[in-house]
Amino acid sequence: MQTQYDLSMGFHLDPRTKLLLMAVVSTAEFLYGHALFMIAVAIIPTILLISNKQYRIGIGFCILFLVALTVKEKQAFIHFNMLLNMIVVFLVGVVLRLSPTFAMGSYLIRSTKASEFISAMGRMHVSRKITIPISVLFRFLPTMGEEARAIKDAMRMREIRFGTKKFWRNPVALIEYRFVPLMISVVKIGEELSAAALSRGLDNPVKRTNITKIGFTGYDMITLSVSIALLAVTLFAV
Amino acid sequence: MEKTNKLTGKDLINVGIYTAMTLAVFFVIGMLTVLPVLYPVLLFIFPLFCGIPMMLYYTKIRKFGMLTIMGILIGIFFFLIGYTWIGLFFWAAGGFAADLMLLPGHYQSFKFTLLSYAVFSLGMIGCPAPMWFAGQAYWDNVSDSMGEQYASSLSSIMPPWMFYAGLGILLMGGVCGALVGRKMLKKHFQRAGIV
Amino acid sequence: MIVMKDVSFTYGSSGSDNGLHDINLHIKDGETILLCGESGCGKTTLTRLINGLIPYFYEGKLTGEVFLNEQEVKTIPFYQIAEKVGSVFQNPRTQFYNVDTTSEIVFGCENMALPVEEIMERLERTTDNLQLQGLLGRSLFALSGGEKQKIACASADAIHPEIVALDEPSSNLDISSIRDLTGVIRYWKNQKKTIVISEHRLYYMLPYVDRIIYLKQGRIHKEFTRAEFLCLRSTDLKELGLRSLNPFGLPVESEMKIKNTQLSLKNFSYSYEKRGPESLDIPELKLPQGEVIGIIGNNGAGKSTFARCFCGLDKAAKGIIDYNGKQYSAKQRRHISYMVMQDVNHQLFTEDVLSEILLSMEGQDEAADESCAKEILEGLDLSAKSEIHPMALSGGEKQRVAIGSAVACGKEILIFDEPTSGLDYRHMLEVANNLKHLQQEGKSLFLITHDPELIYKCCTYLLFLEHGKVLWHRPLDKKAEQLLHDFFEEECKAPKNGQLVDW
Repeated sequence: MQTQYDLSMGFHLDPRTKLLLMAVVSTAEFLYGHALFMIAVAIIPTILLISNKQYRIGIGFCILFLVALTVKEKQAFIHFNMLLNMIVVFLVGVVLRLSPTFAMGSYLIRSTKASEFISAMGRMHVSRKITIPISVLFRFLPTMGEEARAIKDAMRMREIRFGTKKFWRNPVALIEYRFVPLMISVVKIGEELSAAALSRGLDNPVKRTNITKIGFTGYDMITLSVSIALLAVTLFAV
Repeated sequence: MEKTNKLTGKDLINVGIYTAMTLAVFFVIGMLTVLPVLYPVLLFIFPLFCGIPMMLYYTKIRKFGMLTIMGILIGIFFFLIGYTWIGLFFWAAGGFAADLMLLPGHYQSFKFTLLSYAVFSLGMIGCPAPMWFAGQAYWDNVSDSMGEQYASSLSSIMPPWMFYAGLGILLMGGVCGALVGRKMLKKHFQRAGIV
Repeated sequence: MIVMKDVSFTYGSSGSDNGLHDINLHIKDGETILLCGESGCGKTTLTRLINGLIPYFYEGKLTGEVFLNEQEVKTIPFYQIAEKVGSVFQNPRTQFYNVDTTSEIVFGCENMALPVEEIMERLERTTDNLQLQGLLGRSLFALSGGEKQKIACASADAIHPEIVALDEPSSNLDISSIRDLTGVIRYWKNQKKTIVISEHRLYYMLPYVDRIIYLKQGRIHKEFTRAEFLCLRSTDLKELGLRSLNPFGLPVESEMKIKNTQLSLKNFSYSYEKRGPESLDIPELKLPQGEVIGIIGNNGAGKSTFARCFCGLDKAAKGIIDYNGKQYSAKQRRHISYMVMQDVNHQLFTEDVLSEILLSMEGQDEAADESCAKEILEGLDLSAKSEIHPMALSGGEKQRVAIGSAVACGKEILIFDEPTSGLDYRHMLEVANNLKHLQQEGKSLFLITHDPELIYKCCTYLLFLEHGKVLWHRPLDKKAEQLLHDFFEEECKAPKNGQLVDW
């Protein structure tokens, strides 16, 4: 999740809106529909991606989707041999039915700050049993990256690598050396983290407040209504 | 300090940490998911490697709910990346079932830990599952527009038995993962004093 | 006020080694108490009794009574203790729960369910008083160790606790960060908070403490007022196993061997981004071989970058090292040099100490390797621990194992990154002796450190970096001593931004 403090609050969606949109797209992409409907489903993540300056993924996804759609429409005219045909059909199916949510996911993750997400969960009255582990998750993924990199450096220093003499004598050890120190390190960090968090009242049963500002704005209303209208129109009216 | 059956802050932090570890393994191995051909291999490797952190996690589990929450969290994570409701469902179900499997053993017996982890591994079908369902929905569509014969020959590439085969591979991976994880516990984690 | 009556505690899993015995202590409101002693004496355990981590987090056997303002700790739920006692821990990297600084500062307040306006007010006040402008709203992963520790202090401050318990907060900090920490403690003293701090580094706290309590093997051994403590001579301190009170003015102990061989660096440069500014730019540098070269500089001067480039960890590093007549590029340098990293936990891989040493060896002749490894262990006084898992050892022992694996690899150039962080006097001395020993065997050593005592004990040559460039380098003679002293002065005295609150 993005952690940079973004002062220019231009087009900005509440995390809950994003979740709702994701739910909508997830359900919609499995519905049987004709080409226009599927385009509508794909437009939603494309525009969101562009709004978040994720140009490469946004345009790449759009192109991929349109290619798959064209293939599907023109499939009567295309004749490959049996095997190739099946593979193409399979791939097209995957792209048309699954890529919208992947694109949506990319947008969601890159455009939401961890603190916003957690604040949203609090507003939605999600239980601490979920919010605490999620916060810890956000907090730990970068840490694991740091630790893993440091351990990799240490391994290179000691010349424990793919392809050396030592390696061939005991290849499984390589995986052991990669994982075990990482895990021990993470567990120890986890313990220190727990102590520090608990000593600042994490266990307080009172419902905690959250200063991160989130809230529905006009942008949310517009985005939601336009998306739903688009889908409804293309599904039923056309 | 009274012992309760409620999950304390410390327990919940543990859930978060081990969920992070499992997801980290996913990221490392996940680089290989680009090629669907490799799926059978991945369905074996993933539970195998996850066995190491999971066996360590099992030493901290003394209450109901820690695996269910982990399953839900991983499910939510995959939902957010795009694996849809299907992904969320299977992971959450796997977690819940794994929690259930631990109950008879009273958190003491390795046999039930192994059983529990094997069941948890089944939940990992949540990742490739959307592919199958996506394929299914699409072929329903195709058979309408292209005729039965064409559709039936298509469905031979994605027959339903693949789903069950996938479950089988995960199960095997899970059992092996539990055994490997246990070996690591004895060799390293217990001696390092973090258990 | 804090009262401890006949308190004894032993940690649950391990034996009765670490722990406290028969502690009787009375701390008045507004007092500043310094707990000191050798490693393992129990000072950390004592701070844990105050912030409630014992008995709520660390399991074990607790007897006796601990009172916070006349209420027994056992009867107060943990989260309520958290409202009265702020805690700052040793490791800046592991004590934060959130991902961004602002959330971290208000974390305690949010847990107490204070209304948002109140929290924002406190945030503003803490930011002003602790000089945090410029640190708000940033990712904690991007901050330096000193900045992280500042946020940790802010987080403790925002709760407005009456008591603050600090556990070796300066361990991982460099000199200028310690100066900032001192500012925070001065501010808290001004607020009349009760401060209990356990420490190895005593010099920065001395002007502010009321009493000093020396612990030995879990018991209160001696108690001093500030005046009494200042009267102790350096030999007394050494006997107690304590670090020097004036680490910046110590005598130089090592002398440079006049060898004529040199190694030279040419066109050494490195940038973190592909076309970004250079973090390291050394066109030419000649250094003596066979010396203990201390690498000194501010935070961000490029010391770690230099070390990493030197041993070839970063393949993108440009430049050549000319050593013993051969030229080495970045990739090749890994074969002649070895770095012992700052966090020793990243460098221990195997399941017992002996295997760890063997890991560094070629593995051609098993029998010869094993006897060689055992010799190395003996030299480091680790023979008794050869079957133990490296991660189960104490900090000082792990450090020695890391040194052992450095020796075992047989490479001629060794680099040490902060080998004495958080070590007490005795262990620091051990490290210094090991380093001198390695030098006598003919190896060239580089030492990145901000521990002045270590520099004076074993460095024979100094290399001063600033903004990625070499400012000066020379043997540790009178002139170098002066330059070093000036550097320490600058780090210690001048406040960084604005005026620090005076009391």
